[in-house]
Amino acid sequence: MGEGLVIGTQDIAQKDQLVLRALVRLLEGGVNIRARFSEQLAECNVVFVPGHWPYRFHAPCITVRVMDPEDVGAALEATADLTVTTPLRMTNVIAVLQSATQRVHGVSQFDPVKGQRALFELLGERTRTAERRRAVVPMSAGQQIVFDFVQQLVHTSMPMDVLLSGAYALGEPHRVSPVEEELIRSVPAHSLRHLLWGLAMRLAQTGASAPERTGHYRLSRWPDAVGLTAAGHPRLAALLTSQALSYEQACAKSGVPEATVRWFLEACLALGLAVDEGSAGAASAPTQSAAAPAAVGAAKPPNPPTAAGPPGWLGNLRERLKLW
Amino acid sequence: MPSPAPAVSAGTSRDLKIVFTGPMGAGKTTAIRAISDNEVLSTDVPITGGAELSMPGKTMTTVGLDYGECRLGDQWVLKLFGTPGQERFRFMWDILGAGAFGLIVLADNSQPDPVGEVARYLKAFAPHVPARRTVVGVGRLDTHPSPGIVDYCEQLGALGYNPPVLEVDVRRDADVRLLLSVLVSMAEIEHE
Repeated sequence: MGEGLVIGTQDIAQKDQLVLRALVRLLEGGVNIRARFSEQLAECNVVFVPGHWPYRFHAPCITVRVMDPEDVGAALEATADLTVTTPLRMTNVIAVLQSATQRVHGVSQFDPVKGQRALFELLGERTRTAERRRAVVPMSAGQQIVFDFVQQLVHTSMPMDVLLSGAYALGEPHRVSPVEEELIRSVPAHSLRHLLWGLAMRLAQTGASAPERTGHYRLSRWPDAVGLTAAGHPRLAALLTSQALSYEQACAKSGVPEATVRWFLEACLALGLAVDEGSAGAASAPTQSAAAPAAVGAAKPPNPPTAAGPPGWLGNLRERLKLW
Repeated sequence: MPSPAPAVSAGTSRDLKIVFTGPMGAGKTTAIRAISDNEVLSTDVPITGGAELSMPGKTMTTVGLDYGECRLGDQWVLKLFGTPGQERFRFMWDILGAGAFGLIVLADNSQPDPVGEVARYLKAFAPHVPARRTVVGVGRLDTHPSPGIVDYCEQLGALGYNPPVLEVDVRRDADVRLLLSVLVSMAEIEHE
């Protein structure tokens, strides 16, 4: 059967069959769903049948039931069949073919880290270069993702969890076509920054290698809340807003795992929060930093310091309130 | 910079004071309730007039202070104070800000000029709490996306303030703990 969908029909209305054929031809070129029609049911892996057709095709063939809207409530939720409601339109046919593709291909063929890294790099590269155009990236399993770098959104029917799972392969980005404009309006939008931070955290958890960075980095401002939800991130942000540090210095000073430091830094670089201050000379001197501006830093602490290094009560506070 | 050593009270426990401030309706009382061990002491009264009446759904407002506490082992007590939001209670800000270990400024993005409001509180508390132990939490960004976090950073930066500015919903405990995580991380860096 190859990698694509081989689609057949059984007893559905002639009108629906014609619409389906037309949409599949259109979609194959427009949204990267590899599919073709066949009159030979034996070679099909997806067959569209009437909603109340009393049979179903055996796995791995997928049965898609074409339902009247008023019959949807009676759909066979417990079965493995897919359903699509009439009239057949591009959006609902895309959705059902994407689901079918997902089932046909499964997710086990993908290396999650490779997928996560590829998506992170693509996002990071486009964000770093202040890309202004919307871009479409075809994904495996017939899915696609539309990046809107101006609005800082990603449009896709894939849930955020799937995007973060890395269970996909990415195609070559291209500009948005009219067909895809239609798709954008019909699928959910996610925050691009949330996706980027989520990927960075997943990559850190798996210990994925990151590019070697030899500079000394300072944060020009604090990351968004979503970028501070991982253990060690607030500490790294506090360190790097107060002074420029190399990757090794940040690891040593923070005590945060290396992979976390690397991917935190990668996310900050991608989002333009981190700047490379170059040589080691810039590294060690704490300055009037983002966290301590001169204009408001004149207040004196209520009492002098009691000891070098973080005192125990800060540790107590962390532990008691389950801070990270 | 020297570290903040929390105040030592007359008793055996030692106090660590964190102040929550911000305009009325920003969520100070809610934030304190989220992390306090016991019932929060509040001096809320029914809203009867003035600008407060323009806040839909808000029927009570703090006129004195909110107070909650959280015990940190045997020796330390984290004391959480919420200031009244209205300018006419400004004298309370100095009282509550004195000796504070940290400051959390909460903003309500649905109100007019929320950045200006934050700047006003940062300025008012600057004599008591250093900027390096100040965090800003912005609420209602989901329904009122402008000004955004970047706008806050840029406008506050132009005034010489560069605190962490974080989108929060203080009805979620995790968001309140995020503000405290950042505050504690900043304090730890001071000691290194």
